[in-house]
Amino acid sequence: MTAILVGESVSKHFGGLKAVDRVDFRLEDGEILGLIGPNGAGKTTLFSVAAGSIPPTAGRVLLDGRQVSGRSAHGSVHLGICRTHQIVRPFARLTVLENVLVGHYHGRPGNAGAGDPRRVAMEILDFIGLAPRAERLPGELTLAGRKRLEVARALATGPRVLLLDEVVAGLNLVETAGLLDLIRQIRGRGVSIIMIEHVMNAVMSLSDRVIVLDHGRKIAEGKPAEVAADPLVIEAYLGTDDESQQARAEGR
Amino acid sequence: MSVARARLHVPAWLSGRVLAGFAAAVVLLWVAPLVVPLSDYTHNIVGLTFMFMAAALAWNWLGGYVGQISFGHSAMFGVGGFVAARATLTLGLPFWVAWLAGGLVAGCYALLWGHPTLRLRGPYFSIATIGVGEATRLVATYWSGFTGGSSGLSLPIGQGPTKFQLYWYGLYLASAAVALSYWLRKSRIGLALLAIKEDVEAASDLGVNAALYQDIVLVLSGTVVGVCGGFYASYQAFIDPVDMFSFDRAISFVLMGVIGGLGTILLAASGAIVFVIIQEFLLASYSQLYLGLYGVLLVLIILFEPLGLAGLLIRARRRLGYRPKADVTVEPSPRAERGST
Repeated sequence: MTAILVGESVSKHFGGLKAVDRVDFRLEDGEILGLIGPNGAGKTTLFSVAAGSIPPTAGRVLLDGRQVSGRSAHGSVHLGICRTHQIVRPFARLTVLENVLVGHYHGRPGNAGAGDPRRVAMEILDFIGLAPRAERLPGELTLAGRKRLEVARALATGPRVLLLDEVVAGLNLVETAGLLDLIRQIRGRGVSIIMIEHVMNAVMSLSDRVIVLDHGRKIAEGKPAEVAADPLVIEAYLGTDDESQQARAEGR
Repeated sequence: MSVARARLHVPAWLSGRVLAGFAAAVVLLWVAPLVVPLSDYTHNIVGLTFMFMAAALAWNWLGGYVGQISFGHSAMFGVGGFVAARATLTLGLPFWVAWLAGGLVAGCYALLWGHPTLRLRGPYFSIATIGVGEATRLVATYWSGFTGGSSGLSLPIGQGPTKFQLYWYGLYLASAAVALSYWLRKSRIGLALLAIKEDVEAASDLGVNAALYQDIVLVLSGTVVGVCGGFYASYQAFIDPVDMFSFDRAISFVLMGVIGGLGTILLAASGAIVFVIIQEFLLASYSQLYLGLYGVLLVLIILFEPLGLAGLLIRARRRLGYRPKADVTVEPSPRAERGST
């Protein structure tokens, strides 16, 4: 496998706060990479840097050898990397179909040659499962529906790398299962994915590999099962105090 | 899409009905003064209204489509007017070349201040445009070598079109503005503009080059308003910086857009009609008071009918049992309310 997205010692500081601190990562072609960590670990900031929305303080992110960090957000999309937002941001006064068309029209330059735009957008909606709601407004969708719309729009830009920021947060079990299945299918279409997720069984079941961030630094990387057993990771999530260390010591 | 349409490269958004209606309206208005006996006064005022329609629509591209309310469009109106007047006086150019020159210079001027200030959004942008408008007014007032200072410039009488002929030029101007509005609204650019208006960051994250599109719209808007300024100079045969660049000139563009309905086409144009009627009536009766009355009007519209004439129309239709299209109003369904966070 070859790496499609490479982060080289990426740092982002906000004043004295090191939101992301010298993080290296590789995303293989066709891979689903999980990005986890406690709140405030710097996951979304790392996404923003990789998607070009904010410039890194140091380091760089390369998509197929071309630098995507430090460009504009739209410039990165044109190169083939697209992100979704944790809190969905549909264009409320555009229909579901028009929301997707924005991504299709203005995404990668190659989209223009893909045929009738409305048909292409409808195909994507069909794939996402929103085709019957194409002429509705986003406000008429359920939260799960709007999460799907967020993914549909991003997919319409024709990305090679998709950055998914907590797509299943706030959804019930059935909705979550449906969306996870969808993410698997998106990978099947040849899109490589990095997903931020707090719902552990979602990340663990879907990811090929997982990266754990804590206080802006990468503290673990590997197969989901390895990472879940890593003491550093457990410490980051649950913290340490004398009592639990004692309990652990006694347990052994 | 039929084969014939595809062969003619007719874009999907351009329907035959719209095209026919537009052509019919233009032809009707073109022959109307030849058939219907109008007083000279009315005839001229209608011509002027056409120009204001074009200006209102051009303002609306920025204010309505992109959601960037400009209080500085008087700057482009004035620049267009004075460049056109100078081009006629000093260079002796034909009036329509002078108008175009005024429009182009105004468009460039818009880009000059707009490129940096369009990074601001909402009220911050609006405040910046007030500064631009006022600064331009001051420069124009003191640059007497170009603008004639406070005493303004008089255009030679007898050259260029008469007020009577200006009716048709006004009609061309308004028609062009309507066509441009339709293109901007319905093409893929229009979709980008609406997306920028809704959420500029989300739009950028989908690949929309927000800076570029806003610049394009502002340059187009400034150019058309500049041409309108040139028309106005020809119409009045005299222009001075106070009239062209004043803050009430800037407010008038906002008012026309708001009266008509932000983001609409035909209704924004009819906002200009209402504006001219009010202006003629109020100016004649209460020349000192009309600005205050505009203020009251603006407040009332924003309070009770923020969608302007468009909002009134939607209400009337709803009374008549017409279900509004998703385009303008948002009525969340009970399920959507439950699902929202």
